[in-house]
Amino acid sequence: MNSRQLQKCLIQAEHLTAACQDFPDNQAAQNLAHRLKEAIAFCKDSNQNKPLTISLIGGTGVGKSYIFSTLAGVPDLSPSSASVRGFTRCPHISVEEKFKAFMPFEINEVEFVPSFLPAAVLIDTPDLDTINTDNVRLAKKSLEISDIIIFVTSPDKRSDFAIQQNILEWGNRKRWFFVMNKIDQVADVSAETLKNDFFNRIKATGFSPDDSFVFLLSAREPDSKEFNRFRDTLSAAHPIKLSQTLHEEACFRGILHAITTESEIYELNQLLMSMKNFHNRLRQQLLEAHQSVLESEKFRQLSSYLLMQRVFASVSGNRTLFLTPYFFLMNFFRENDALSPSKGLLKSIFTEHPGLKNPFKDETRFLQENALLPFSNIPPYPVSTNHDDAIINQVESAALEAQQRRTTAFYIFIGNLLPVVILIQALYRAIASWLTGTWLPADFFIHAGFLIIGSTLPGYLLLSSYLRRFCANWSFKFGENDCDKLITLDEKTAAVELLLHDSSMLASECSQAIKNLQKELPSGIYGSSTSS
Amino acid sequence: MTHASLAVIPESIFSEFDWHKMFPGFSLENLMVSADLRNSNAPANRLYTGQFKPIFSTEHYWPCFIDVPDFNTTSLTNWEKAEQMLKRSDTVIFTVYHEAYKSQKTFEMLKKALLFSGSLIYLLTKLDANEAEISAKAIREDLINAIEKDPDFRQTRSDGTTIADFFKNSAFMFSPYESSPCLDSIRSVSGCYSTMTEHLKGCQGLEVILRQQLQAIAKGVDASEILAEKSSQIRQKNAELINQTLQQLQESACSITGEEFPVFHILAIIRRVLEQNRPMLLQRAFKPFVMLGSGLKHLINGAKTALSHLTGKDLAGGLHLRNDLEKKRLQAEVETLIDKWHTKSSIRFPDIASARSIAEKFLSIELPPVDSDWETSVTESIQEWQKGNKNIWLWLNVVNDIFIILGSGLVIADLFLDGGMGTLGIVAAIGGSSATGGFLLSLFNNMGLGSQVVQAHRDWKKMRQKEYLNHLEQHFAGPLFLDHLKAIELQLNDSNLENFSESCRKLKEMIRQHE
Repeated sequence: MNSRQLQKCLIQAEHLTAACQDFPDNQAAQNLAHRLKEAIAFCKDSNQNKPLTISLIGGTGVGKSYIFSTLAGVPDLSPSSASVRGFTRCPHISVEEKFKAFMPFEINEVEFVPSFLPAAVLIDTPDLDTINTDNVRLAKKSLEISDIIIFVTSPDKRSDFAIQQNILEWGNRKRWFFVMNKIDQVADVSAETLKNDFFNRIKATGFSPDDSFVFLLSAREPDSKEFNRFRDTLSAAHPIKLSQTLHEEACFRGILHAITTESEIYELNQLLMSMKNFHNRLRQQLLEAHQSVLESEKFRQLSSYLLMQRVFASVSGNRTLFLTPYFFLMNFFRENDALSPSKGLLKSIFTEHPGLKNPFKDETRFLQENALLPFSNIPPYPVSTNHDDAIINQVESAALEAQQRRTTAFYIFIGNLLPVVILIQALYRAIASWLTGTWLPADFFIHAGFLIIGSTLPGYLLLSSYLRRFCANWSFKFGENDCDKLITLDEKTAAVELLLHDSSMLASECSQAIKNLQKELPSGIYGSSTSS
Repeated sequence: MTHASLAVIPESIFSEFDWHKMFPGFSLENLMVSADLRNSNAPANRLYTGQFKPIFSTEHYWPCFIDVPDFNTTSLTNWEKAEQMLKRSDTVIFTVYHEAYKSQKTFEMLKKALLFSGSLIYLLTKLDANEAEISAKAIREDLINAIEKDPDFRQTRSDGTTIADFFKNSAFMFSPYESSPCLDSIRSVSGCYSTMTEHLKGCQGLEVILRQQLQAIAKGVDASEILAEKSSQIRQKNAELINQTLQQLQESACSITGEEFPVFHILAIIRRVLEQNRPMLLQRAFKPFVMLGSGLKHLINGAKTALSHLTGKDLAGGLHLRNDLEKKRLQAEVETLIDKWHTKSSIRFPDIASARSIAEKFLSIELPPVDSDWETSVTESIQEWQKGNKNIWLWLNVVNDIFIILGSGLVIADLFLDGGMGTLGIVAAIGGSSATGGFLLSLFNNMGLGSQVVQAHRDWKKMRQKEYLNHLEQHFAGPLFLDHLKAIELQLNDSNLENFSESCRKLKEMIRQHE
């Protein structure tokens, strides 16, 4: 029976229900899931052959039974009393034999009377505000199964609080007619004043009242124009197709009601907001803790050592010419993987810092506090893990930068200048004397060799001084991306956000569908509803 | 619909009547126009006053009639106004019409009226004039049936009767529907004079007032006894929570203090005592060793730093300052305690963000200082021991200086073994190394100082645990929730509860005497 659009909404509602199950301890999510399940069950239970069901509801002594009997044209069909209240002990149902099976009542708790409305069921319900709890239960059950509600009141009882609560609760899920009975018993107020007052009270419950679904009448005057209008409205033909459309609209309304209930959505929104705020707070704490680690003496010493190691090793890969022996010697004495043991030390600097542990503990506690994680079976607190990698990466990139810098090349050039000049000078002297036929003594070459070796030292000192300066000026940074993720909180936040987003999408689809269906269901025949 | 209550008294006493004494806490205003009663913006405590010309003699009869707004309409503020007057009325004329007598709200208010009033007149209005009396009787029967089935109406009044019985014995009157109602059209069904006027005149005013007051007191006593019982339970639970919390704090204080023996502290004291009592000659003789020890210390520190720079190792190991150690343990204990408390729903533990702020603030406070009493008592005990061991004193005085020389060697060994030293000096370094500490303790044992050292250790643990317990209690658990529990304990102390129960007993006795 359901249209494609309803099927789609039902699938979405089922997904939403499943999403709520991710929060088994959260009351708001569970309430939402419960209502969605009820709405889905209502839609799935809807039978194409179910007749249009109309209920007369109201407080004590407003004349529901009298109206029922008058509509049927059979006095005391549903017995009433002029004095004793709560007289109707069980719903009286006007129903065709073939439709009795659709009435979800026990046989002994209702009384069936011959049908007098074509293709529709009319139920005279017990009082909604009575002290008899069984009567209230039956009245509410009738209300739940009805497609259309006829709310009956009297001039004296039009401002009753208890009844108004039922209208507010069911106003957006059912189609409503409003009847003020016993207007013949009012002497001190004009009919117009009474009507205006009644309209204002209906308006206060969220409806936009007009004459098509509001009646001011006296059941004692069945031949009056207003009563006839009321009777005609109820007796109007209700084609099966439109009855099905009404069912469909009720399904949409049921889903819409489930997902737009103020308290749960408000609570979930509040939860989402507090999750985001807390997330920001924890991120800030993590960043501050990282900063404090970077500024600590321990870190400064270790990082500076690591940096020097890597920068020198990296620069040794350049063509350092006369300075090569120094770097060769350094590499010879350096361990193969100088960074490995230091990584453990780096890790311990980070893991021992309380500022990098507590946010993860608080993350778990916050989720438990908000019933997003169970208190029992507390999982081990997550810990930060990747800080050492981030630092090592920065060390590597610093080393690469040092190696590729033009300034480094310049210092290498300057460092090699003196030995080159001395070498050229020595060669010149050697070649010049060889050309003149004079062979220089071995002392010359020994001295020249020592001179060249000696001349490399200032160059090396110059280069190493530059590299030390480079390392000293290098500052380690911890960006947002280097910070560990608050994975569980992120996941839960995303899940709540998705839940709210999906429910909002579903709500707008249902609203649109209801708007379209309303065009097919005039309020003059099917009554009216509140929009929210 | 009216939105305010109106109280009227006979005009003969109007000028002398003290309204404020009669209706304390109300905003009283003389009613000028009846439309004021329909002003929905009137404050909840507004009470209009007025006077009336009695149709019967009021020479010894000065009733104050109060008309209250509806209690079952959508105007919720009216409910409170009606209840305010209901609870202070001696006689309640419960006026209801036949369409509403069995609604939930009407029943609820009837129950209250029966519980609090001295007498009740049930007045059924707007009945069909043709069969008013029959309807009234039928309705009364219907009401009695409904009331008998309702367990709430089995509550008893101060005289022991149920409120259902009180209703049955109350005046039941009715009036037919009339365009202009009058008192004379009100008729009786049972339990009263034939007309309202006669009935009102016939009521024993003082007796009714006393009944109402006894009833109000009885209700108050009943409620107070329940309150006392609940308070006692809360007090007991609260005391358990406080004890439990203190126990947890004690455990944490023990963990923070640990089992470490403060050898460095004791050695420093011993050294100081011996230094003070050493002959000058010996002091001069050993001065070079002291200087050597001190110089070596600086040298070693420098070497250690240089080595650290070169190797990148030795940074994690080494000695810990006691403060650092205790601070670390304190941080760990704070987390353990938060874990224990935040899962407990019985205490008013704040949300985790607030708890974290309190914890951060707590951890930023200086650790509790070492109690000077402990130093004094250890010093006294060593001085005492020293006085009784004159010969050993001389020998120990020498040993003290040897420690410094020995200490240099130990520091070097310590550096290479453990990778560092603290800033408390040589003596601290000796104390911090467990092997060295063990050696010194055995040495002290041999010297006969064992019992003093063991006692000093016991005292140290006791004192630090106490200090940490106070520290945690005052600055951590207190702001989190313990202060709140203690405030409850203070409010619900035994003497308060006993006085309360005693007052209830006296009031009950008073009611019994007057009934």
